[in-house]
Amino acid sequence: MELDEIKMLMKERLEEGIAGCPGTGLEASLRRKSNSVTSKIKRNIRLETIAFLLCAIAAVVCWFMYPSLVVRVFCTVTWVFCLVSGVYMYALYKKIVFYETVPGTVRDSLQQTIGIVTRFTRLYFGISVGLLPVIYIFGLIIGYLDISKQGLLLQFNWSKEMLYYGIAFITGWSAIIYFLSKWYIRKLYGNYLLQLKQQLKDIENG
Amino acid sequence: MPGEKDFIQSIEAHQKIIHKVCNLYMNTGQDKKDLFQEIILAAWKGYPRFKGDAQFSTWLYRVALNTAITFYRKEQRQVSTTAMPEQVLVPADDNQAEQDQLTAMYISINELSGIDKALVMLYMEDYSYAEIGEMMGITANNVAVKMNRIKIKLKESAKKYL
Repeated sequence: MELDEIKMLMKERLEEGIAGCPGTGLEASLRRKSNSVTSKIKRNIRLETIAFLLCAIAAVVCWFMYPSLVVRVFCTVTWVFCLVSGVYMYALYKKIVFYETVPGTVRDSLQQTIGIVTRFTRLYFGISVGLLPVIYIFGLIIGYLDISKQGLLLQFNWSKEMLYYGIAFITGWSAIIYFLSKWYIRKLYGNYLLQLKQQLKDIENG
Repeated sequence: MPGEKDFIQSIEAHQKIIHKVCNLYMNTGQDKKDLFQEIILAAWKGYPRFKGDAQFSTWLYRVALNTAITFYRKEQRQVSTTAMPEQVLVPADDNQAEQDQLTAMYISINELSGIDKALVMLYMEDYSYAEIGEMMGITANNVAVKMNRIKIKLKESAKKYL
């Protein structure tokens, strides 16, 4: 039996309606929320952008409220980071919107979706893990300046145990964030990305 | 909303295309419904840029196949590829042999990759290799080679289920 012998019958069978899908009156379907991966990423980007905006506002407020040099440097770095990330997010958002409205070939669509998901996951991972050293360094500087300002430098426990505790805390926390971020990203998009890459491979291998 | 009425009318006239894609790519009723919804939304988003230089049906095929191939299922339910799709679970009619052949071919197509399913679907719609290539983003020669391979694969596979 060959495909050509049975294709008319197969076509008829495949055309059969799906239970629960509207035959007419599709208006309601247009108001529903999309669950496509690009729509999810768009929603995430909107949330992240709001978070960046709030952080940028907080940084400006702190800059004026606390005239300490370290705080001001910290606020400036935060503000610049939020601005750069915000612009990057906006560019990704625009790219997704454009891609959603122009149905390209299947190959293009796969490449675009892989590109968007990869870009988003890298950004997510970069923000989660890349910011850790910055936070540690500023945390240590602020902590040091705080106790020195209060004249407590000599009373502070500078023992080896304290140093080991500090290193262990930083290492442990970094490891937790690193593996947690990796696990979360893999759980969210790992299998999906693998499937898409396999499909792209299928289409490219002639 | 401007264009909404036109869009809905066009979709209603061509919704068999969406049903075909959903029935071919998804096995369970819920997944089919979810994919149907996604295709409608994807088509609606792209509709303002649909200029009419291609046929609506060709454009809708493109949207539907792109959506089906990149469809994201949160739970990533693993459906056995040899599981009997709901679509073929219909009461046997008078022509039992034909029904068996149809079922065997259906299961065989169901075992194909997402890309091969798209090729089979467009082939069944009698699109030329050049048109299929244009929709898929590959050359007509490449489509011909792939289709030959798929036909042999389906023939072999369908034998197992007869």
